[in-house]
Amino acid sequence: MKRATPLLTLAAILMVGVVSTGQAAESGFFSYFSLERKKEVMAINDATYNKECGACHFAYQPGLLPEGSWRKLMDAQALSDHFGENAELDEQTRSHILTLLVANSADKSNRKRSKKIMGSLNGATPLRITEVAYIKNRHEEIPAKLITQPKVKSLSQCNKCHMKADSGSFDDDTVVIPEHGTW
Amino acid sequence: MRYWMIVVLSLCGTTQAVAQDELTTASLWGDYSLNNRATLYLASAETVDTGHATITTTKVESPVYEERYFTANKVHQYLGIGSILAAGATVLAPKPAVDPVTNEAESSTHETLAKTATALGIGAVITGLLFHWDDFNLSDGVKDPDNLHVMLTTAGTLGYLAAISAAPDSGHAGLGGVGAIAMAIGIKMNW
Repeated sequence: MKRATPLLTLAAILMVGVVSTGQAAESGFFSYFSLERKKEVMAINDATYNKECGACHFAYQPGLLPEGSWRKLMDAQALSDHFGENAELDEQTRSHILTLLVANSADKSNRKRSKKIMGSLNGATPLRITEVAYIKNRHEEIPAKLITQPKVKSLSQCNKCHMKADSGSFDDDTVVIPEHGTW
Repeated sequence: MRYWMIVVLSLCGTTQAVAQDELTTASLWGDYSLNNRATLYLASAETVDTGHATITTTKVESPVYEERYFTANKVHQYLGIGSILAAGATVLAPKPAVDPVTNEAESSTHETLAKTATALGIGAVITGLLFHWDDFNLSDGVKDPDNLHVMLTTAGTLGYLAAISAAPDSGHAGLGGVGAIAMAIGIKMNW
């Protein structure tokens, strides 16, 4: 058994190395050892984004969709018919927001929730976050009446039930559904 | 008496985890309350000029939210962290003398802590399977963060069990060490 110890130690070191490399691809090897929580979607706090997009709807975190989706959504022509609304922006603002969204998109994130989203897409670039398979699966048990009720209206209103959605946290523990309570 | 010490040690670990949560929550609450003020402003019965669209909003009541420290997720989390802490304490605890004839060790704090780490690890695995059964699916592949979490933490617990079974042979430290490392990485991945 004594001979097995160095082998086991070596296996442990290799295991740390392999997993850490995979985890820290985005921000360097040593970032893996930080105590920063990386379970949830990365929160962003950009004044332009919050003003231009957050004024009409929840300011969805970029890590909720891949780059391809954001590029389609932020296309100048597409913004003129943004889910039935005219959301045109001047070129400088559009470019600023697109850069922000692309730089922090789900495919570039090392956050667990973004990885789960990417894993469920199989290369698709949906226009709606509610069309992401992972998001749909996570909400399939919720009765339709709780979603369509006046205080929520639709799944796109993340922050109606996810009380920490603004900080990128969509954990079950932070869910309080209006007229229902915790989930 | 020894068992009471284990209970106290486990609670210390839990308290530490709660304290960390409170710290995180405090900063998050700060952010949330600021954002909430903005939301309330936009939700007041006023006309808001956003530059490209004019929106008339109505007042909406937000549900009351309070951080909960005893949920299914948190119990799973506390058990996992407690298991790591107990494994660390096992390494630090003095090793018992082994009878050279019978190759048996006296009952010791080291052994009790090791068994505590294993019990907490088993508890974490069971609560994970119960509370997060819909979060992992092998069809998502081994790179899926939840699948890796399940595999590593289960391997960690099996490492603990193997170490206890092999003790007091000298090789049991390696098994326990690998188990603790696997458990720590598995927890960090979902942290």
